[in-house]
Amino acid sequence: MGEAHAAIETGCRWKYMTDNSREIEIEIRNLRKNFGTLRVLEGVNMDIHRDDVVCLIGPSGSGKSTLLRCLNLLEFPSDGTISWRGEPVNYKSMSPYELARHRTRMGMVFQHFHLFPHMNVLDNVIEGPVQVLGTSRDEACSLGKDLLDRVGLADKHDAWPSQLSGGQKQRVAIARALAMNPQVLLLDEVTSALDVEMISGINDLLAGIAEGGMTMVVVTHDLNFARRIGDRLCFLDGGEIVEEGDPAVLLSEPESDRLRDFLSAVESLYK
Amino acid sequence: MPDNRRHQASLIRTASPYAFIGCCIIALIFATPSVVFAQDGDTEFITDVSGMLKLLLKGAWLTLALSVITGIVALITGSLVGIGTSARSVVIRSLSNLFIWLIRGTPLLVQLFISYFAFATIVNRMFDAEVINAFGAALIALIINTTAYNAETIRGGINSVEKGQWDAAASLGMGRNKIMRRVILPQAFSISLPSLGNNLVVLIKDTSLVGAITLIELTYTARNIMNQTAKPFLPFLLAAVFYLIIISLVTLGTKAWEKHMQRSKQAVGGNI
Amino acid sequence: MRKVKEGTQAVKIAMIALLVIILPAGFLSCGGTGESEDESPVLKLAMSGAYRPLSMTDAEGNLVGFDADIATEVATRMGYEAELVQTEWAGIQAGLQTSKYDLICGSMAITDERLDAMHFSLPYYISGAQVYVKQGITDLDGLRIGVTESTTYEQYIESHPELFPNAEVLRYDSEAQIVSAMNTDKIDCFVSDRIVGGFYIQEGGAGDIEPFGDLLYMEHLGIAARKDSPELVHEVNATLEAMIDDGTYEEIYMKWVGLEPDLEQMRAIWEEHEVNIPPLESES
Repeated sequence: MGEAHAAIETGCRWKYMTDNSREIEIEIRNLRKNFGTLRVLEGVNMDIHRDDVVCLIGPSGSGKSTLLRCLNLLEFPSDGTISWRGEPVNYKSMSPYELARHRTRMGMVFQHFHLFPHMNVLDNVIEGPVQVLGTSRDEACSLGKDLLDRVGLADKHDAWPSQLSGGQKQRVAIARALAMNPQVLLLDEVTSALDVEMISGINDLLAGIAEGGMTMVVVTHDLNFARRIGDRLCFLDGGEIVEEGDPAVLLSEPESDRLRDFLSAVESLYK
Repeated sequence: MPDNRRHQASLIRTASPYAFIGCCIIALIFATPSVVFAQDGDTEFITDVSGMLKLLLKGAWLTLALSVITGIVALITGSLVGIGTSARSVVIRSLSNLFIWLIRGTPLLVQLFISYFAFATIVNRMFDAEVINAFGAALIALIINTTAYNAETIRGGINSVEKGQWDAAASLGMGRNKIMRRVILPQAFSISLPSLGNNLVVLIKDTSLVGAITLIELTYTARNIMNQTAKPFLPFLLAAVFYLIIISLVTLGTKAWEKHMQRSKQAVGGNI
Repeated sequence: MRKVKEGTQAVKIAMIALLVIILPAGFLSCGGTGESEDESPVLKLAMSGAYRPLSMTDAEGNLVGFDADIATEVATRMGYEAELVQTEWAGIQAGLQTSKYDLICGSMAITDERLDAMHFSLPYYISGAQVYVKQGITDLDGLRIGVTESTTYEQYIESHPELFPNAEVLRYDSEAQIVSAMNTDKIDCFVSDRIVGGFYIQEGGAGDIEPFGDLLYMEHLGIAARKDSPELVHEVNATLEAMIDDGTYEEIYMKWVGLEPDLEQMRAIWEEHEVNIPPLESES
């Protein structure tokens, strides 16, 4: 819990708009996604409230990543509705401009970082603001340096991605996503590719961001993280949400057999 | 592992694009005097190696000129067509792929003949003047040919960029064109550079075919010398040395450029 | 990032500079447009440059020889600046037909077949086809015969197989290659022009060779023009006559062939060819 205090300290600097924390940011109804004949999402319904940290867990192939990617339209759903703050998102007939605008509302951090290898760290972070938001280079640079300081990479502005460790790369990726000033942060198994000793650092960082009031949707295998930071837990299996609710409750007293089986298989790894 | 890298680094110590430029200039200086200081006088026939070298130098100049112009122009046009293969519009995509298929699927010699005997003739007759001479016809064929090969290389390069780069850039809100320009193409180009250098080397040797359309380049000059002196080996040996020099200079240049592009990839350890 | 950018900029500038310098130089180095510096129009004449001593190249790569001198003299007298174009024999007719040059002055024999496709001037020299063998060979049975492709010699060998029993015919680009082939024991004999063979016997460039038998047939060599330029043919004929009359022709002939030309024979043969002179009609 001491770590959490430290996180809250830094967390105050992550303050975002936090009136009305029960407002719905994203509403998903009956979301389906097929890849050819493969049905990955089978009618998912979900509400994501402001300031919520929603954790998606489930076995591989359950569609967690696909669901996440549908949120910022990296994948286009085959059917169903998505709404942003009450307004429906017409993914079937969006102009490129609208699509870009939708995506700028959500920052995404990936399991394998996907930093731009031909740019140094600072350029990676400011690429979004400069190219998409039209921020001036100078302004973006000072913003970027500030962000890099906050993620703990104050001395790495000129470094190249290939010179960084996994944990450092992920911090840059987080800074890059935050530089766009998103309303929602989407995290796709962001610690799964890291060495064990780096995971807690990233988790602390994310905890701080969550404390600051960021809405987050997190796909994760790390059940401790879900327990500690998550406001709500969704268990996906076979393309649908089987169980959802308070993380502590779900993880200690699962109702469905499927969740029980999943937990027994996974918990043994996380001792 | 670290030892290897250090060794490699010292081999290509002149690792900068300025080396590439320097090589080109040296090559030009090397080739120019024979053109500038041509002699008048009695008809003299080639009797010895120095006479052969003088003539071969003249031929080398043409080879170099064709190679340099084609190399530079085809780099640009090849990139454009290569990018076209992954364009949004089906029309552009199909045209690009059709072009690549057609040109890669036909021999350069045939293309040279078509350019010289068909295309150039039609254009010249249209304007009733020699708009496209043999040099122009050769350039057209060589540029089109090398463009197709460069385009295929760049197409491969674009496809080699990992999909995650598209995801990351798109999630920032970048549109397709921006992603291509800012993220994908720089990486694709860097990946393609060795193959593009290879295409350049092949091009330099391909110029030996333009003798078939009356351009007296290096190989044709060697044949001429053989014809006049009935010495079959020496002229070709010398011509081979010339080609080797030109190609080595070019290879030095492209390797230097590659090394320069690799600066961003100097890993201390660990990959993505 | 800065250094990478600077480097890339430098390369781009270098490439543009190279392009700008080399491009015009390249075009200029390869033959000009219609007008020269002297303001006289250019007449382009093609020859192979691989047919010694009638057409060859010197140490500078310029075309020299009997064909070259005749071509230059004729063009100059016609009021043009002569531009000699070296073209491979196999493609020399195609080049004429596609207007890459105006005339062929490269020892092209006048045949009925060729007359169908082009116009010829009156013959500018007379020669004949001769078989040459390595010294010591007494009969033509089972020999490897070298011949240049697309020549009357090649046609003759193909149409008279009885004269060359069991022969293996090897085709080359030019007489010069045939000579190389003789020297490297790839062929035992060849069929070519009497003057060319004579030159090699004299020069010794083809080893020990000797003529075999009599001339196979006589050849009349003319200057060829496209069907659309009959006026050029008339001009060339007039010029040739003038050159013979004032002795220039004899001079050039002696210089390269080493013998006196048989002018009476030529004039007699000219009468035969009067019928081939194309009528002067308006271009169509």
